[in-house]
Amino acid sequence: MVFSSRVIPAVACITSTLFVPLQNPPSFKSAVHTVAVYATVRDHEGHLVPDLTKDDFQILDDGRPVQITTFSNAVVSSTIALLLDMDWSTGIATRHLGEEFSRIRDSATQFVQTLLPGDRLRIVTVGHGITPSPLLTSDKNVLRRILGEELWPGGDLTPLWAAIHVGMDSIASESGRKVILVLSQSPDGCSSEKYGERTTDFFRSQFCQVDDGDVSKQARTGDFTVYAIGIQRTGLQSALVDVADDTGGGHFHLKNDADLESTFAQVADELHHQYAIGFEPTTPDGKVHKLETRLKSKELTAHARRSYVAVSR
Amino acid sequence: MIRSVFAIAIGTGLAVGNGVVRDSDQPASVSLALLYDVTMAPWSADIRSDPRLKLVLSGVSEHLANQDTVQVGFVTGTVIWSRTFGMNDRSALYSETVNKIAVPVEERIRLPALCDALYEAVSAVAPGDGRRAVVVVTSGHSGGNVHSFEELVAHAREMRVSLSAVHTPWPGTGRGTNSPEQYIKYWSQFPVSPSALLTKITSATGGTYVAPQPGVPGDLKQRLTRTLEAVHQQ
Repeated sequence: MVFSSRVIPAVACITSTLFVPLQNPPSFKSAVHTVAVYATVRDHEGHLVPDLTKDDFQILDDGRPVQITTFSNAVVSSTIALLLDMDWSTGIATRHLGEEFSRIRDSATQFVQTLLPGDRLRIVTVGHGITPSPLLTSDKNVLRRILGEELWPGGDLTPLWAAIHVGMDSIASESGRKVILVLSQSPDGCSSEKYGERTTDFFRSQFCQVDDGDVSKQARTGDFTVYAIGIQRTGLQSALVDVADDTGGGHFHLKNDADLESTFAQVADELHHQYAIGFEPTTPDGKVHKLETRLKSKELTAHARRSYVAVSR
Repeated sequence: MIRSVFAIAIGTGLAVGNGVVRDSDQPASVSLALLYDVTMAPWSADIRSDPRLKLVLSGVSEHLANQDTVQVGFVTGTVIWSRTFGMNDRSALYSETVNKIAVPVEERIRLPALCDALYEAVSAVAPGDGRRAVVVVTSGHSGGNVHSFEELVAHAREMRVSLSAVHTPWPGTGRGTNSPEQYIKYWSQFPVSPSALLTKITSATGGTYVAPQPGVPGDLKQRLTRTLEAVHQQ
């Protein structure tokens, strides 16, 4: 399977350098647990830099350099859970509701178009509860059909953390890189009291058994990369920003008229231009270790996960 | 882990039995699958005390002719109950259902897998005698399906089963659920709508679509009756 630039023309517009074709995807499976670190490198203008070598990187585990045992700058396919929060009940949209709905649906559809053949996606709709699609697929026709038939405007309260938890669970057993992409319109509804006591109590009993701390822990132990896109109104919860940054993903806080489609394309661009780096932990003590990804060049910056759990497998 | 998405509990209905002699002047019997969307009720409500469920089940019970069969299912996320009704226990359709139904909460705090439920209902009713029909009482929202609505329509056509819908929007305000006019106006701004979806699948399969009357919940039985009459006249 060879990457072709015509597959994702939108990406080609953003990336300034040639993309490295998919060669031999890195394997993190071995008798010894290999920690996967997916690193995004940008130059001082923010352009992605995809042509570095293993020697350009240094990984620090709790401050101590480790030997890089696996390295690849080839395209790594992803298993993605796309969470679409359709609850805009926390504030009336400043724009036409129909336009807002179409903007979200069309942008998500465009994101589907950017997937590479090895990528697989599960759509999880949030609004009137949490509804994960039973289909985890790379079939773009199926994904477009789901977005066309199963996305509905409006919602009641957003069970944000529960939804991310469900999204992670839905792809937890998959091998390879696992990504959670959240489109968030509302803060977690567990602290809301805008509905009556009965509804509030019910909502909390069903959706509030998981909080941001649980999600952060699950993301770290399950090796998930979390991206969060917040659109208008209430913005992204700071705890979600922390989770996204800690896992080596990213966050985007968009203004009312910001281009949602290009933000989705940016996420896809990052996912398809990351370095896959692996190392074997020297101290598998079951504890949380801090990670730091450094580059030789001072002109470049690397963004990757900031922690992992040092377990032996 | 993602659960199986289709959501229907099916009984095999009233026994039509061998050796039944039909009078050619009499209308053909109907093999009916009735689906009730349990996500229509508020989350915190007890589905067994949902007054609309009683209206629907009693309405069906009253409308069955001797040779008709009925299978009852619920649109949720998994199979929740299965029951075969015999000739003599038609009157127990409501009481038996309410006594036995147990809808796990987790099956209601999600969008209903309407398309898959209809697909399974078509399969269940397809071997039946006479006219074969599926009638669903639903809000028209749907999510978490394996099948597409295009596949559903093709399946129903192939099996010669009509799909009819009694559209019953979610209760509440703010989404155009106070009056039919408000409902239509609200949804007209979106590229999708439950009424458009239901109209599409019912018209494509020769069934009947009964438009929402959000402000008049008491006429649900009447609207269901119209649908059942239409099924008998197909």
